[in-house]
Amino acid sequence: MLTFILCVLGLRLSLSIAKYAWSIVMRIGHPKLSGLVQDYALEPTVSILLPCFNEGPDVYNSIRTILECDYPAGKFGVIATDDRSRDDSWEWLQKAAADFPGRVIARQNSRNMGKSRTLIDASHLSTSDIILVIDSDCIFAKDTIRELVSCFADPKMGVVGGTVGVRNPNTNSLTQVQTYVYFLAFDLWKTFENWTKSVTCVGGYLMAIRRHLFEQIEPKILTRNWFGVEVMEGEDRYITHHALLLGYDTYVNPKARCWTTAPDKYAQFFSQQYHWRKSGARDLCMTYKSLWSHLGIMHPNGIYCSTVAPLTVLTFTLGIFIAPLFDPLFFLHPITLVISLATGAVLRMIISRHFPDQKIANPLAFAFFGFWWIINSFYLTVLSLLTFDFSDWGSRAKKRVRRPGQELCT
Amino acid sequence: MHLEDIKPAINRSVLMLYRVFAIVTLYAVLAGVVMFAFGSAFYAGSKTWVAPVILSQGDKEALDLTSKTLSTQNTVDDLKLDMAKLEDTIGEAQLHKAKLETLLPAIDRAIAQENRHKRETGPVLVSLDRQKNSDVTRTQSALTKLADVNATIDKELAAGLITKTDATQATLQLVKSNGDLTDSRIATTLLKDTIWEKTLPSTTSLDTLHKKAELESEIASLGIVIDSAQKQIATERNQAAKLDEALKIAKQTPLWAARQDARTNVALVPYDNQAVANEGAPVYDCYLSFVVCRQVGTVKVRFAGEQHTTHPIFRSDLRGFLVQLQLTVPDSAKSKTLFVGSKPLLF
Repeated sequence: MLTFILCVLGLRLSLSIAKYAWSIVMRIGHPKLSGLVQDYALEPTVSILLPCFNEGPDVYNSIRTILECDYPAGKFGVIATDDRSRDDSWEWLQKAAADFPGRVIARQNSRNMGKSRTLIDASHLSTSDIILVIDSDCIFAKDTIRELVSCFADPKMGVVGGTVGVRNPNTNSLTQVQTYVYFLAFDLWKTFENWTKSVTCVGGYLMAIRRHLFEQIEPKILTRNWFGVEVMEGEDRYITHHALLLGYDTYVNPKARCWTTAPDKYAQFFSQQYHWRKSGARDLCMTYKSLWSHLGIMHPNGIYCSTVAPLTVLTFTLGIFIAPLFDPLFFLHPITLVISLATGAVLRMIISRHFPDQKIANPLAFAFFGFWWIINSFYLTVLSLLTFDFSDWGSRAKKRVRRPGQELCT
Repeated sequence: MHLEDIKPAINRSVLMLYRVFAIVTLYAVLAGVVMFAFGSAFYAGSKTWVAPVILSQGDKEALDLTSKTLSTQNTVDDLKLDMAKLEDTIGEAQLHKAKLETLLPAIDRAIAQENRHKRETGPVLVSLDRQKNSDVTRTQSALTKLADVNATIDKELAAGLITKTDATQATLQLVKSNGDLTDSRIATTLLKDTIWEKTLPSTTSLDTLHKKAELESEIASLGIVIDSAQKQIATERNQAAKLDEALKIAKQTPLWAARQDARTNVALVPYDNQAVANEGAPVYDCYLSFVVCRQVGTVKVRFAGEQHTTHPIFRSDLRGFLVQLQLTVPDSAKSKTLFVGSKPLLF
């Protein structure tokens, strides 16, 4: 049994290490390709597209922090769109538009249309050089916009993202777990793709894209479908992927920081993870479907990260599926717990050192993460692969309840 | 007809198939997860399940047991034979020893009698020897005085003083006297030998003592042989008793039962569930592992001794003991688990 566990973990680890090793080889082999050009004097106009669905007062808070950014006020504005929220989000958007006249455009869709279409419709109101797509609960650092746009000094740079932190890392064990997840997904995992400027998914929580590139991809987004069923989620990964296919570089600037509120309810968390996984699965299908068109255009590291790296999840899913046939107590095997805790200890140390605001109070939360990781790798993968015919707004699909006396603060 | 015209129909068909497949798969996965979770929880909490095992004569363990019991039985038989031989040896040795031991007092008595005789005759002979020596001395002195008689006889014969017959008789008398002296001397010498034998330790007596010592040594050796044989018998008797006990225990094991019959149904009872595994307790077999159950037999014999096996559900190490099952439905022994005492659920 131990051999089996080690084989599954070893295979996953090997594929992951291969990704990093490959990135290092690419970085060393093509130093010119991996060098990033930044110009902090660059000040293109920026339209911040803020799609909103059931965000409540958080959306107002987000807009306020965005507008406090250290960037010329005349060169950026917010286009906030309510996608027919079932709570008071629209009122908060209207309040923002009233409180920040000329800098915030508040609009509401005629019907619930999904995030992709909402973004596209909002982009039509923009004439800016750069379109910055964000999540409606995103809180910006002062220099976030400048850090993002500085990367566009390189004309080949198509999409630039930032890293996201958790605003509520210690609310409960769930948010503690997500602090790990966010660090892994948005910091650690991207680092190696960054080295070759071929990030396969710049997160939609903070994604800056050249306007003409966005317009170029827009028709594809509008016609996205799964055997005739409209696809509404995963537009961030889709846009990034197509930017790479069009020969542009993609990059996540670790200095461009923002913070989002991690779900503190299991249903929300499940929904969020499910949508992430489904987005990845869709992208994997698209990649294999059009594999030949990647060759010669996309950076080899990007191809590897789009084709082989996602298989690590599938490998682990298969492993988890098979494991109980050998040993039903596989999930309770001490090695699983030990590996989980050891990994957690290392990650906690790194997070505490580099992101003090993300410090996790309970280091044992990673044991729970290990448990979640098993469920995530198994059931969510299967679920996402079998629900391609279904799209919604993900974790925000259910109406949020505004708590009496809730304050608008960061 | 163009592809674009039929694409919506194709999409709908693919979508329908995908949805059917997805729904079936998702429900199957969900059912599998739920069953796995419920099954795990059930077996973690159930106190009535046992793991059936079918034993047969051809099983490696049964064959091993047959081989080992035969070997052990042979050893026991050899030990018993050896003990009988040793007992015969002891009997013979004891008889021989007893005979030898009866010789010792006779020898002692003979030596004592001889010594007593010597003590009695020795001094007499010494006295006689002295007297004899005195006689010899006197005789020799007398004969010395007669040394010139022979010449005198010749002179007198030559002178015709005596007749030839007288002379011859006189000479013969003289020779006879000398011969008697010589005989006396011989007798004296022989008497000295006799006295020496009677007064000093003789080689004959030493030989007797030597033989006595040998006899004693032989008796001691026989004692050692008897003692050693008795100890060996005790050891072998102990060993045989232990082996007999082992054989007795082996004959109470399920494998021995398997050796007797072509097929023996047993079940491993985990220690946690031992309370229900009593002889005569009903045994149930269930459909869907533990859902719908029927009685398929009873517990026949409860065997002593710990057994190890793999947990039929959790695949972990399982400790317990075996019971022999009397099954009315033999195929139930092929189930993954059976239940003893009562149905796991109410039906």
